Amino acid sequence: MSKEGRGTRELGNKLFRLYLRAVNCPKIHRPDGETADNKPKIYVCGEISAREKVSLAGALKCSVILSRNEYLGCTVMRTIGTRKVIVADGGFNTEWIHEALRRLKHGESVMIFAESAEYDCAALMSLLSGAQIVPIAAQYSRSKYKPFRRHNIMVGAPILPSGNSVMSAEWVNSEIRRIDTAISEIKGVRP
Amino acid sequence: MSIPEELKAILTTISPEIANMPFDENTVLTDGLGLDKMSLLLFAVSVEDNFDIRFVGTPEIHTLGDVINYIKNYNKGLVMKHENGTYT
Repeated sequence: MSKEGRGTRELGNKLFRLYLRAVNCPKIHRPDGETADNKPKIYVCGEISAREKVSLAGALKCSVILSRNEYLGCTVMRTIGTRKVIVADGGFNTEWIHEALRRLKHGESVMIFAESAEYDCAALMSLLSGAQIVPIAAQYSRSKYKPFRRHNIMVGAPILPSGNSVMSAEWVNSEIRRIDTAISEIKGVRP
Repeated sequence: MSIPEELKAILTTISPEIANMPFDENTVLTDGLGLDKMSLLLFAVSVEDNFDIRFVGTPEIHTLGDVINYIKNYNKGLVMKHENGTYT
């Protein structure tokens, strides 16, 4: 191949990589009139794949709470990095909650996933830290096996703890139902 | 209030049905009182807040007696780490 041909091919490859990066980079859609602020938030996300979790954590620049099995058992999740992951153990181990509260206090947001066992603690952490719960949902612009589909992140309106915030199981369950309703509402919203 | 009475008050706040259940040092938290994972965590956080202690590592706590012993040992500075990484 001639020099001009090689140069053209390299340029084409470079432009294609830039295009892929632009397509795969998630685009964040916030509610009308809202802008991103620096307040710490507790992001709660519906059921998504491991790759989407990694992509979300990078786009929203937040720490992620994962169970130990989920973190150690999935190679993709470990690409998030140890600094950004809070590993949650069961039983009377409360260190992960205190670590999450410490990061919220220092202005860093935290993300929990709906299918994890730690999802129930979103309301508890919101009550203890005063941070808002923000429901988010991940969507693709095209169906699964179509090429060049764009990853969109739909951000819902923040949820504050309801009035009678007593640390009881009934209160936590009612808060979880509110969060579930909010997530299912934004899942149906198209960008 | 004694430690068992305070623990019972905390548990009753988390789950009001516990007020009518048998309550002694051998009561198992999960099977005896029916606490699920979330309720156990709520209980742990409330106990830490109430008694000004911290559950360090992965303590071996299954019964109310274990909780009472942990609180007493913590206040005496006697929380020990075992070879398998657990604390009592």
